[in-house]
Amino acid sequence: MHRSRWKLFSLALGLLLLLAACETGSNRQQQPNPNSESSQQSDQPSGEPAGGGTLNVAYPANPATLDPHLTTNQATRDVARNIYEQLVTLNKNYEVVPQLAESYEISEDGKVYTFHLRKGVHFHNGKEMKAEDVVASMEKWLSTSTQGQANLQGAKFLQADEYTVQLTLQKPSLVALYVLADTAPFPGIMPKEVIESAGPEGIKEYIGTGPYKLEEWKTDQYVHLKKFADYSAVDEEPSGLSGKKYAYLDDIYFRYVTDESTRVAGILSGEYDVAFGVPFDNSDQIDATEGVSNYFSPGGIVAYVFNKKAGPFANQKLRQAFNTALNNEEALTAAYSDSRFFELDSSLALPSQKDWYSTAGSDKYNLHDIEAAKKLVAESGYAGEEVVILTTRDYPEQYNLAVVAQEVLKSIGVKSRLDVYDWPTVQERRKDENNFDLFAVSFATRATIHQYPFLDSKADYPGWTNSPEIDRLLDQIQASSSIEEAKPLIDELNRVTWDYLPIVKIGNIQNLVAIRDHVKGLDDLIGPILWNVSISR
Amino acid sequence: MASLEPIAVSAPPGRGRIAWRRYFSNPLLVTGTAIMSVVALLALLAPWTTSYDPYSIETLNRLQPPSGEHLFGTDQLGRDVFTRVVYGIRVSLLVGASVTAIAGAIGLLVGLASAYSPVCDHIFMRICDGLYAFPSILLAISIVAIMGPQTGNVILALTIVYIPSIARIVRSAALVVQEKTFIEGLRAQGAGVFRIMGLHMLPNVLSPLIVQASFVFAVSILTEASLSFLGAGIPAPEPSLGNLLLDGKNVIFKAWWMTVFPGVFIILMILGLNLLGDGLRDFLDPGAGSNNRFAKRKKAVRRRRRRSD
Amino acid sequence: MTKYIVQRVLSLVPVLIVVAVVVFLLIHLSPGDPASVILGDEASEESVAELRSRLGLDLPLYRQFFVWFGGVVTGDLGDSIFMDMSVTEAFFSRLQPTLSLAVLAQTIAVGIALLLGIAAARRRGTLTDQAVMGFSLLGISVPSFLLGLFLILLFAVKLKWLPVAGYAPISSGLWNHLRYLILPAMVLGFMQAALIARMTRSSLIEALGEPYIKTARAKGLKPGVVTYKHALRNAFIPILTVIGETFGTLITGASVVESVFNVPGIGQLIISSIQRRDFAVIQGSILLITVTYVLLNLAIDLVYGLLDPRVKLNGGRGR
Repeated sequence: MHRSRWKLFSLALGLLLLLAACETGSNRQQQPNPNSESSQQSDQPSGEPAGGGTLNVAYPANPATLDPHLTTNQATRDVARNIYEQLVTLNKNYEVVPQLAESYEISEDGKVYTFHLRKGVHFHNGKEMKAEDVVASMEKWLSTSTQGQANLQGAKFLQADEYTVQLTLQKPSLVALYVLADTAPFPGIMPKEVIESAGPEGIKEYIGTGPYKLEEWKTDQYVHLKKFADYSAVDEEPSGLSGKKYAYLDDIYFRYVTDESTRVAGILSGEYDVAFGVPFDNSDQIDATEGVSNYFSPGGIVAYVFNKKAGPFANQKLRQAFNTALNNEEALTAAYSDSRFFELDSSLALPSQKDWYSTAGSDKYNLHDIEAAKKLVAESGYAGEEVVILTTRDYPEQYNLAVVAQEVLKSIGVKSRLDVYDWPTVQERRKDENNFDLFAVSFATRATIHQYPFLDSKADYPGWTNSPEIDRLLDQIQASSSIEEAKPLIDELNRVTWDYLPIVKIGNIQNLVAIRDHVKGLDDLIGPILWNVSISR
Repeated sequence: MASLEPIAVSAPPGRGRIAWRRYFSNPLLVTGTAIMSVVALLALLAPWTTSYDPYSIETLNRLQPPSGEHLFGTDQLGRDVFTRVVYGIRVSLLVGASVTAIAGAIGLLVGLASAYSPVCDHIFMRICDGLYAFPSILLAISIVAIMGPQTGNVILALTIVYIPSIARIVRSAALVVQEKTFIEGLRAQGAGVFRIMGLHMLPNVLSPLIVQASFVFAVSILTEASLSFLGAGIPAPEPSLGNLLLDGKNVIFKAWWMTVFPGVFIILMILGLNLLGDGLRDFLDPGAGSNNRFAKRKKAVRRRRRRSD
Repeated sequence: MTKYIVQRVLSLVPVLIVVAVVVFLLIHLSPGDPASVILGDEASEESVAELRSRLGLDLPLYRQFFVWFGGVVTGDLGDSIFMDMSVTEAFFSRLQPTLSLAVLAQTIAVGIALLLGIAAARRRGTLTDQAVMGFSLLGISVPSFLLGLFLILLFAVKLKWLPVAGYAPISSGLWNHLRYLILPAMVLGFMQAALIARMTRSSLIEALGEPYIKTARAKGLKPGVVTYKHALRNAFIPILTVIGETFGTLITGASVVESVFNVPGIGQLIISSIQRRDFAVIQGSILLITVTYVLLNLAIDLVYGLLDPRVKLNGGRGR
């Protein structure tokens, strides 16, 4: 009796194996081998980049969506900028230049922007891009994006004719064009039909006009981009996000590898061609490995954000005490390893952003004066409350900065504790002013100061800056007729910021990218630019 | 070992000395206790074994390789790794011991109750099935997320995760005793629940319980490390060994000492605990009672079936 | 027998209800929500609130529960917020990597473990025995991610024999499929082998001490025949239990290894769904895992009966 059961058992096993074997037989070609580097190489001599090939990118975080209108997440931005294009974009000097627009005019009163669209630009689905698509896209972006809501309130897009679109503002704004050229969330142009069928979590189809189209997106595994054969490029020198896009590569794979050491191991072994988010302490190892190099790209600014609505740091004096005690170089070293990866700088904008850069207020930066700080603590009337530093281990830099903050507070006699959560929990907890007093975070570079969330009292960003003076300066800058006119106001804004201290800017930071030597032409402007990358041998 | 059979059951006079002799003739137990004593001593004497503060940072001194000054080198914030390892052992031992004690006590009660009463058995074992099936790491992450990142909550989470494994072992060991005629006899005589459980079932489940407890001790230390690896363990900057390994993982290509030393100590501790467990089993259960183990299991299975049929 | 199975399957129902309630509460009480994850770090509270309401997350908790549970009862586990598919689809698309990994790991484990366990039991007390016990102790003492990192450094970075991480489905070719799974399977297999080898050794030693083995020996049967045919057969039940249980943990608990090696399996699905608070996926996957696990246990119990004639004779359907 039990012998026959054995047979049954082995029969079942055999069936299982057979099933597995069947699976092996079917659609064999569907999955390219992620380990194989660039497949078809042409044998062109060096000089002119070789066309074709596959780029394997190891990327640290999964995009939550590929809808560029929705999110400030870098994971979305870095993929979506290959798929979608904007009316206007930024060149390498962070200046606004046309992209899908051929040209634009601004009316005398500064309230009406007229965009003339380029003709013969096609979407990935073959349809030509026209004014109706632009209007639908821009309206969707205005209604969903934080930037649109914060800086273009009451703005309206209308179709003038088939290839002309008009934007009407409620009041003139110096920053309007910059906001339109924003990088995340960015107003990518997509077909009207896609927008009409969008669900609550955003659009369902990802169709743009960019040099690469979305071939396949396997959540948690990879995004596969394929060269868009009918791409119509601008005929100008590439500069930043603007100019000609060559699209040398046939395929780009963003492979999502959340574990840092796995990412590093993968670039060292040659499995990936480019690895983003490489921990800074691995740069030596990368230098020492043949065929791999370090690549630096500006990573924006990093700051401590105070809770100014409740708790001990609602007191300006205590914020000043913390800032006075802080040794910025030590903090940056703790988080970013060595001075190649950071820059001590007090300005809200990067030095390369000439229009917005200002060293006003730098006398309050990087003081590292414990005695003066202790005096400020005494003046603040600090009564021994415990300061809560909110942080996450999902981003080691944030965590290390939090530990440094704790030591700084200890040195001036302020009690503190670290609350360590995973990142979504941190995001949730810091919505409540009773949950935290301080957190460290980095902000991607913005084309204007207005686009940072931590200055405007209307922005409602955790920390809740509420300074009438800062608000007034922001409004005055926005109302200025030119950047020259705004210059003194920008200086003033920097000075006031260092006095009021909505945040303590710690410094400018670099991102570390590891790159195989056969990868040429990688560029970066507020995120990687891959369309002029080629693979040579 | 087989020659030591008929002792220790009822030999009060020479008991102590014989126990000592048996202890020293058990290499597993001796090695296990030796490792654990050294490790525990190192941890308990932490304030004296090191002159550094496990928390104070010195970034200019970061990622220094091992030297006379810093025996195990320094970490990414310039903290002394030796000091953090020593304090980390403390934390890991605390977590392991608390989890073992609490889960052991609750598991024992649940297991005995299940063995004694079929009603309890149905309720508890279904809950245990559920808990067992529930991915333990996820359960722990959720509990820590809801209740806040505190050592106590990590202990609570791990306790819940390991109760079923102890309850099951106790239950099956107790079921075997339950079947014995003398228990049936006691029952017939009208002996109370607690008398039967406490005086007759308990001693018989003690040795599998202790062995399983040593396993739980070891595994909870390992799981704490995994939790920290996923960022949901003991709240940093407290130096649990799991946290140290996570710190080390980020710089594994540059600072091997940050992974190797905490790693070695975790392995050593778990090795010690497992040796201890194996040794204790031989010690507590001489001859391993092997002759009727199989019969027990068979009966247990049969019994299970009978209840369900 | 059939009645027994039906009964066991029915007893799943309360377990599932308990698990469903617990999972739902755990997830919805913990902070963090998918709307913030989608909108990113600098999104305003208004847009987060708006997205929350569009996703139905602003309903009272009990209503959300009944909406979800109503679906579960009719077999609809809901849709993922982040993946353009239903939870069931998401789960089964991730089941293959996990199953492949588990089968490969368990094959490695059982192979090593039986070999070592039997060798140790037959030469009890010798150097072989001690070496095997040492190996198995080490196996349960090494954290999986440490071993994983070590194997990556050795086989992928230094020797370049195998890829660092990732996954290729069976459809891309069997060897390509296996190449990616060998390292993670070795890590998992090493740990499982340790457990199984211990159990093999101890239950074989027990079985070898049974009177009928002595009888068999006295009858003059060859030692090999005695070990393999009689003792092993009888020692197999506890070994099988361990194999079954460890297989269960491979399916439910390989999340750490899956995340180190970037294998898109169930463990990674749940971990990343937690990280992005994809509620429906977390809830649904855990329910499905619970069902799998309990059914697996049932299967083990049934196999008990198949393997042990005495259990069948005494407790079979005749009673």
